[in-house]
Amino acid sequence: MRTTQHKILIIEDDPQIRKFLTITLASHDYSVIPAESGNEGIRLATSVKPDVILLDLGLPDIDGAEVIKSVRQWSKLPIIVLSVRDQEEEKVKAFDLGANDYVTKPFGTAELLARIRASLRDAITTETADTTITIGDLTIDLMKRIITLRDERIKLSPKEFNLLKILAMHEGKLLTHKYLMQQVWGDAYSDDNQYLRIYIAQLRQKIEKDPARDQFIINEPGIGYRMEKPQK
Amino acid sequence: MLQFQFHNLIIRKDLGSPMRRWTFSILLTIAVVTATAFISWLLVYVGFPSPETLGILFVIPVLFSAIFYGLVSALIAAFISVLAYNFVLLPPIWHIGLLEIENFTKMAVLSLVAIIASALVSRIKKLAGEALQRERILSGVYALSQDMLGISNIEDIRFAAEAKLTSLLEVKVNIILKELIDPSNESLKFCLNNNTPTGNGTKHFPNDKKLYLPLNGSKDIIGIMCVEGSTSKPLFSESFSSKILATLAAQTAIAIEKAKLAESHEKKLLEVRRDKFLSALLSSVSHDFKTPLVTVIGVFSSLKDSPEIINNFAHREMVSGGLEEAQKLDRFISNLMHISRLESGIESIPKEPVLLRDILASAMKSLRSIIGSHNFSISTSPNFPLLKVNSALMELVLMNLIENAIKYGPANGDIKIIAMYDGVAATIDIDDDGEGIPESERESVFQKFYRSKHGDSKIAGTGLGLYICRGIVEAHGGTVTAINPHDGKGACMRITLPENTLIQVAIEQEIEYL
Repeated sequence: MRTTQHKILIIEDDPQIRKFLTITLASHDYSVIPAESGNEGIRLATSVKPDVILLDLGLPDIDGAEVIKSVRQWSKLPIIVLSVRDQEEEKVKAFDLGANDYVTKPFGTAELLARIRASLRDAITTETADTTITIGDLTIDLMKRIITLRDERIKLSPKEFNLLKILAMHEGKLLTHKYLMQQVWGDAYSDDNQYLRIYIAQLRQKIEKDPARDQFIINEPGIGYRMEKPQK
Repeated sequence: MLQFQFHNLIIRKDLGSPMRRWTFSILLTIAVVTATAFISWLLVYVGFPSPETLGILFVIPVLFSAIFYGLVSALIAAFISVLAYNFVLLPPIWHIGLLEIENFTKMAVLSLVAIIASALVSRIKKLAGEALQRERILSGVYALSQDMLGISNIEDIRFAAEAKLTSLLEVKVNIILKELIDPSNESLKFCLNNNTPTGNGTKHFPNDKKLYLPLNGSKDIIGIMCVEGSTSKPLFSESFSSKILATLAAQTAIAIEKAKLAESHEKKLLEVRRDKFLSALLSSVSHDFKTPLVTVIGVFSSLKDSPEIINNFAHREMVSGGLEEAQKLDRFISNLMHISRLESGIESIPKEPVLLRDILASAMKSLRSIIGSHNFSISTSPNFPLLKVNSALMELVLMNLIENAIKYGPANGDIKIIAMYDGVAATIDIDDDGEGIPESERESVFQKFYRSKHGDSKIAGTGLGLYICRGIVEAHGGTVTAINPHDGKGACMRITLPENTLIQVAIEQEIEYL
C-alpha cells in the first residue's frame, strides 16, 4: 500500500473522458484533480502541485502546447499527453516543448496506468537496485551481462547490450532517439539516429524471437523507443 | 544566305555610335576604291591592252557602299572613284584633270548606279526586316503556345507566360489575373474597365512607365498583361509593333482561359467522384460499423443493468468481446481517416528513415487482440535497408495486410513475413495459409468496397483495406500486388518499394559477448 496518494491533474475538455479517467484513476488509489480548460489546468498546477499531469492537446481555450510551456517554466513534473491519432506533428511538438510521454486515444486503462506508474518511478540504477531486471520472459543480469529469453541464453554485442540495458533500466518510459544515442554512442552522435535504428533492428532480431508474443521494444514514431512488458 | 547577311547588318547597325559608324563607312569606302585603283593600275602595268575599259571596275566600290552603307556613302564612293580613275587610268597618268568631259559622264553613270543600287538595297532591307519581324512574332507565338501546352494549372501558366514573354520582349512582363488586380492603381483600373491598351505609348495614361494590355477571354476580360518600360522610350509604338503585343496577349489569354476551364472541369469531376465515394462510404459505414457496435452496446447495456456480472467469468468473456469489437471499430476509423487524406490528394506525405521491424512491431501491437494461436515468422534478408517512408501510413498498410492474413487464414495457421532486397528494390511479402485469392480476383480485390464472392461475406470488413494499402504504397512510388504464394497455398501479398524509399547504412561489425 502507498503511504501517500499521488495527485494527478487531468486537463481534458470532454466530460465523458474526464469522468472515465476520474473514476478509473480514483479506483486505482490516485487522488484526481479535474480541469476543463487549459487556463484552469495551469492555475491548478501551481496551486495543487500534482505529481503527474494528464494533458489533452485539443483544448477549447488555449493550445495544449501553451500549457506545457507554462508548466515547464517552473516545474519538471511529468506531463503525459493524451493525443488523437491524426495529431502526429503536434505530438512531436509537445515532446520538444517538454512533455514526458503520451498515450494515443483511444487507449486502454492498463496502458494509461503503466504510463503513469513509469512516470512516477525513478530509473533503476545499477548501484542501488537489483542487478537483475526481469521484463516478461526476458531476464537481464546487468553485472554478469547475461540475457535469457525463456531460459535460453541470448548473445549480444557490447553496444546491443548497452542499448538494452538503458531501455530496461527505464522500463515503461519513453526514451528519445537523442537520449539513447547519447547514452550508447556519446554526445557526438546525438543527431544521427540511423545507427540507433540498425541496432534496434538487431536487438529485435535477437530478443523478439516470436513477433506475435515478444513485443518488448515499442517504437514511437518521430520521438523514440520504450521498453515494455509484452501485453497478454 | 541573303537573309543571313541582312540579319547581320541589322545587328551591326545597332552597335556603336552613329558618328563612329559614319567614319568607319567612309574609311572602308576609301579603302575599297583604293584597292580597285591598285588592281587597275597593276593590270595596266602588266600590259592590259585598253586601260580606259578598266573604268568599269569602279562600279564595284560604288555597289559595295550602296549595299552596305546606303546612298550617301555610294555617292561619295562614286566621286572618289572618278578621281581615282582619272588619276590611275586616264592619260596623263598620275595627274588629276577634273574638268575633262569623260569625268562628267563617268560621274553621272556611277551616280546613277549608286542611286539605283541603294534604292534597291533599301527596299530589300525593308522587306527582310518585315519578314524577320513576322518570323519573330510567329516563333514567339509558337514558343508561347508550346510552353503553355500541357500546363493545366493557372498559376503555372501565369509563371510560364511571364517568363516566356519577358525573354521574348526583353523587358519585364507581369500577368495579373482579374481577381488580383489592385484597384488603387488608376492605369490598371482604366485598362480593366475600358478593355483597351493603357499606359506607356498609348492615348490613355501615356506617362505611366508600364504598358497595360487587356487579356480577353471568350466572354470577359480575364486579366492584364503588364509590360515594364521607361518614359524615354515609348513601348507601344516603337520597340514592339502593336501587332506582336496584341498577338502575344491573345495567346496568353487563351491559355489562361483554357486552364480555367480545365480547372473547373477537374473540380466538377472531383465533386462527382467525392459524391460517389461518400455514398459508397455511407453504405459501408452503416453496415460494417454497426456490426461491432451491436456487441459494444449490448455489453455496456448489460453491465449497466446488472453490474455484478463483471465478477462472472463467462460474462467477463463477453466484456472482452465488446472491447475487441470496439478496437476493431477503432481500426476501421483509422483506415477511414487515412483514406480521406489520400482521397483529398495529399501527395507530399512527410517521410522519415524507419526500420521495417519497428513498423511491423507497431502493427502487430495494434492487432494483438485478434492474434489467436497463429504462428508468426519474420525473415529479413541480412542486407535489408532502412526504409524512408511515412511510418504511420506504412504501419497501416502492414496492419491491414496482416489483419487480412489473420482473418482469412485458419486459427492456428502460419503467417510468414518475408522481406527481401535485391540491391535495387525491396519487397515485403505477407503469406498466409487461408483459402487464397483466385487468379481472376487478384486485381479486383484492390478496388474500393470490393468484397470477394468466395464466401468471405461472413468476415467483417469495409472493403477499404486493400484499396488503402495500394493508395498508400503508390503514394510512395511502390506497388502492392497479390502474387503466387511461396508455399503454394493461401494468399500472398507483396509490397514492392522503389530505390528512393530505401537507405543503405553501413555499420561497424562487433564481436558478441559470449
